Amino acid sequence: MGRWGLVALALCNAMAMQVRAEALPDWVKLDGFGTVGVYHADDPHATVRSDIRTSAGARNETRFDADSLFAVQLKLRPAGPFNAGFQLISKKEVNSSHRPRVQWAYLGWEPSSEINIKLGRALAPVFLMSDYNDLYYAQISAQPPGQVYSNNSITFNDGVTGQWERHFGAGVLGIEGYYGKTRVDVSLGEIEVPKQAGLSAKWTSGPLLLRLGYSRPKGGLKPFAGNSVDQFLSLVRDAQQLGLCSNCNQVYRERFKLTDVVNKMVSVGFSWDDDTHVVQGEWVSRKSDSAILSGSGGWYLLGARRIGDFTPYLVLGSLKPIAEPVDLKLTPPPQATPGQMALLSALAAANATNVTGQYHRDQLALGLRWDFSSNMALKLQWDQYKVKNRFWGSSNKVEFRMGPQSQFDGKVNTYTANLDFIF
Amino acid sequence: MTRMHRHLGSIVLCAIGVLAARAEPVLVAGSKSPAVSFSRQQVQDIYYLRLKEFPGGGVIVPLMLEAGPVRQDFLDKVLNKSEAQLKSHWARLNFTGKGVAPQQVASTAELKRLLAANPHMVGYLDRAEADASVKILYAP
Repeated sequence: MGRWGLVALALCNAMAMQVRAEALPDWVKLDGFGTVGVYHADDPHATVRSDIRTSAGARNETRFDADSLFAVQLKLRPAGPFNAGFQLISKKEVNSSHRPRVQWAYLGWEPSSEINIKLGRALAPVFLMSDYNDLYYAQISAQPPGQVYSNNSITFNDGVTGQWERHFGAGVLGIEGYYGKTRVDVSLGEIEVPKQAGLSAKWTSGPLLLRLGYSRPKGGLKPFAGNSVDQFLSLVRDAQQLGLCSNCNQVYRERFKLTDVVNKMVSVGFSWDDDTHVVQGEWVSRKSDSAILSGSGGWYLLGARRIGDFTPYLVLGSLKPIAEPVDLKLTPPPQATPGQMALLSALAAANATNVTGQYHRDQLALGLRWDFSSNMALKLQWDQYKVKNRFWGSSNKVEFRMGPQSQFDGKVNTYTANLDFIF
Repeated sequence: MTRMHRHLGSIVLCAIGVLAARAEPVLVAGSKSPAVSFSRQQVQDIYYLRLKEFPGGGVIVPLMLEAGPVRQDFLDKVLNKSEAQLKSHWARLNFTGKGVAPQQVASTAELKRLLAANPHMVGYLDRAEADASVKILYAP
């Protein structure tokens, strides 16, 4: 089925569901959301993804599958403290499949209006907008700002999620925690997280929202065969076997961990929305004990002004890796072959840049949101990414050929037009 | 009376008519509701699904009239939100499993019927339609 077929099917389903939803009893709620998007990146030497969980990167081309998604959900809220939710979302994944994934499948318990506990699969509230990461309609910009949100690709938690909320001072204080496991596929490979936990505090008073979050996933990465991580690890193994490195095995074991990797993420966020002006910002620091799933730090600041149905906005952001030095002790033979020289050169570059690279990515985005109809919004957004220190390393979001032969000049523009809807 | 005076009179009458046509939305509950009054901030919190219980206990169930001048004035004068902003906020809660948007009610008569049947429900209507079956909890 072509892309327009998918869009038509989504819209037909939405209309059919609306009709069926009206026939349901009050305690059953069926609704959904989606986005039909067009995405263009203008550089022939770099591929840019709007979301690190999709294979739909654009390289000097226009794509219709980057942000496009469709989700439906069923919520059951009978009288009493128990409720249940089920949500399916279809979006192009890293394996290029649109196969719907289960985003929610939980049984909820609300013993009072202040406490909400969910057992099963529910959203993992890692950042300010993680709860509605894919619900673009509820966000001002076209996508969640990648300089923070690409630091975490986890969306759901299989386990227990709890929220406690009550009035505190002049506002409402909410404490939220989760514990469980998850899995997610990103361009680096399959990430299995058998244990994750997180805690966040949010205080809301009138237009002001403050948030502090901490999360700690512990898991492993299985790189896709032949990708950059897989190739790099092969180089390290080869170097040890060929006697070109005296400590590669040890560094491989200690620094290039692919299992039991612990990430610790601290994030601070705020939002001011006085109905006319919106200012929102987040900062995150992610530390890792593996140079492969390395640490990083990022921030963004969004400013917007509502003028009737139009909301022009500006986003500034930055991302850079946080990594401890890697010290591969290379031992070049007196007369190295060209193959050995190439291998040593690649490993020397990895050494110089702590494997993950010293890239530093800045983002500038300008956009316009138009709420032209009830339950629908059109967004137009221009992004410019500047990538510094491109000698080695790449990021999930902006991919380019690495090394001295790279023709990427470090600057790439993307253009997005998204139609977001809820029903 | 000169022609100019007649025009001026027509404009004044027209302006009065327009002003009179504007609804004066008030927050109400059924006459048996335990609630007494709310501040404007509390009303906003109710419709933002932040204030979930009456001060003396009991879950608050907010209702919204479907599209019309009273709803529009309630958004403008009390909630100070556009329709799109409010829907966006409700969508965040609805699609994250953290709340359910207020039930939509087709008419004032239906609203009064629901309020009378459930003391936990609150809604809004034009002050002119507030009769003995309801009690006013907030007026701008």
